[in-house]
Amino acid sequence: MSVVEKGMSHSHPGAGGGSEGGLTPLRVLNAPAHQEPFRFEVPRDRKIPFWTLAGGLFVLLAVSLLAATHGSPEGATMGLSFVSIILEALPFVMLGSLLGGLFEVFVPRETVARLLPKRKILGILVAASLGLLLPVCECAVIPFTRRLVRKGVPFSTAVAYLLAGPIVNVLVGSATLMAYAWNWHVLAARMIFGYVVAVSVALCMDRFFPGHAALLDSGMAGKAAEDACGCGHDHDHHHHDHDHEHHEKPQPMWARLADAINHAGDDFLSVGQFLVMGAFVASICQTVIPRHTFVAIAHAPAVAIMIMMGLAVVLNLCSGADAFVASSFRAVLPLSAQMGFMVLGPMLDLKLSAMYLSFISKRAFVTLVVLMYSFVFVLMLTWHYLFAAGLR
Amino acid sequence: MSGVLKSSVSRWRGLILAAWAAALGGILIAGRYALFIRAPLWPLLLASVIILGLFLVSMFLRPSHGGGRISSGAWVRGAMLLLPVLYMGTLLSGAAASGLNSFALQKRSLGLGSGSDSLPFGGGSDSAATDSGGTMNIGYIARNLTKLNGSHVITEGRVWMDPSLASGQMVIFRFVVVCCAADAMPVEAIVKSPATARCKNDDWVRVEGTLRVETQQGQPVPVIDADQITPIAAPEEPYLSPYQF
Repeated sequence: MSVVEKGMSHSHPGAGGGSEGGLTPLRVLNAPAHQEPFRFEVPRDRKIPFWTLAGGLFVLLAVSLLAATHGSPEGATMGLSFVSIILEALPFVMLGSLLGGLFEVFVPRETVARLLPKRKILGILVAASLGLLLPVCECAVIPFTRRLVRKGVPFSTAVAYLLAGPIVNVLVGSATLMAYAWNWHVLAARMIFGYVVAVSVALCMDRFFPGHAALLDSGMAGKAAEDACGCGHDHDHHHHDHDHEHHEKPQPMWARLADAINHAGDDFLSVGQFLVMGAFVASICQTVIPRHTFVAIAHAPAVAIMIMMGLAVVLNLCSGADAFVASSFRAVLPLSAQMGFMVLGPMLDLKLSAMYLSFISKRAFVTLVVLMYSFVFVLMLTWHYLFAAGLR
Repeated sequence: MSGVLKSSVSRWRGLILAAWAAALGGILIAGRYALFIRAPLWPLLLASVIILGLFLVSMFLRPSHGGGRISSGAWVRGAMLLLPVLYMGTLLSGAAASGLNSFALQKRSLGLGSGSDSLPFGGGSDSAATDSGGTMNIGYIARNLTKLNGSHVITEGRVWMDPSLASGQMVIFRFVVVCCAADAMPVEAIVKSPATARCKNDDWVRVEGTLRVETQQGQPVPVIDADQITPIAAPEEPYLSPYQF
């Protein structure tokens, strides 16, 4: 039996517990033993998995593109966009990972269960406003949300926070106000639309993917399988020499802190690879697609809204900065189209898509995308024709 | 602690984290971070270096990765994580070393008039109008066209020899960055002078002349009738901040 197999078969008295108060039993998340979880570890067999092959091709493509375009204006634009997106996101991904790590080690599942509202709908409504307490952008929200789910927070509740958190928060609100010359109506519209879309999508996801059905086996569920000991580390369990809240022997504070940071490091490396992929594709879009062509074809309001939503996906802007870019379209596009850009962008773009796929299944991802896009589009179009037709 | 050094998995993981910390530390010390992000945001990069350091220290304090060889998947994932570091290294010299260029301008511009007076941000005082070289910020000019119409201005920017313009004309531009180069938006002005013939794409120039406002396709467009065009070195901070004007 390989080291990994030993780890997978390792069991712990804490596994599978914590089903109270809306918590999903950990057992539901457990992946079958034959599935390979994400890990920086020993290979299970000699066969090269599909994603390893795809990742290898991606690296090859990126290095070839670098060699082919080095020194050219196109290469400079693409490279600067690529590295910029990463550098901008990096501190926030790390911050989210750190918060997640601390949450993992210091907050017991029982506390999570106690704090969660008993009624799921109430949990979703509260979660969608958590950004007010924890004002971070979308890059920080994702790693933190992964840990929330692992701790037993219902997936739909996590989705509400995931989508609304980067919009309904003070920092993003301030940037929006600044970008729109202190127009409070624009700020209010953005917050309300962000909240409504997040809650609506979360409710739909709960209906379509009850429990943790949306989670990716080889990502979160695989991790949860490793969590049979409750730790969730990417490690070989025969070397597992530390304990958390659920372990019997209490550990000193420094050791628990180091464990929390280790968890954060694992999360950073895990989410980081998806961030790199998303940022790379986004930088190619930034280099290839001229923005004025979007304006040129956006005559009808419906087309303008749809195009600006598409632009939000390909530009991959931080929710703290997107209002400035949206408002630069004021002279040429209606406010509803700018709003579509500002509401969808923090919820969905190429780098976020890659990071979503690090922990939810492809089917759930497609559903999530369709729901987000549909809700934002219908809301914006309705808003345009009822209230905002003449506004820019 | 020795467990970490013995484990090839941990060594590989440590190498990735250390490479990132070194790359970020390097651009911070060399001041080259302004190529990628708005310069005042450097503390965020410093925070990243500190957190990376914490990751490395905690790896040594509480080793959790076992021995064994590194899987092919781990090699690939590690290579992916190192790609931005590789790209960063190549961007610090050559065409990219002075920031986004005229190619990016063509992709991001919404038209010459789109940045004028309607610029949504700003609100800075007149003291924000000039940069460290005593020249007028081109963003401030674009923002205050009506006020500055007919004034004598000195400003700096990069050159784009727009083929749609008549002979003796060119565009000078700067990018306004809120967070990073990915959200950069151009501000532009037309420069008219026989001396434009000596310029080429992506040169950095100082332009001195009279500002006029022309209307093109219904939009006010800044035009500088230049008395003098002087080549200058690329500034250390190639981008403008929306909070400067």
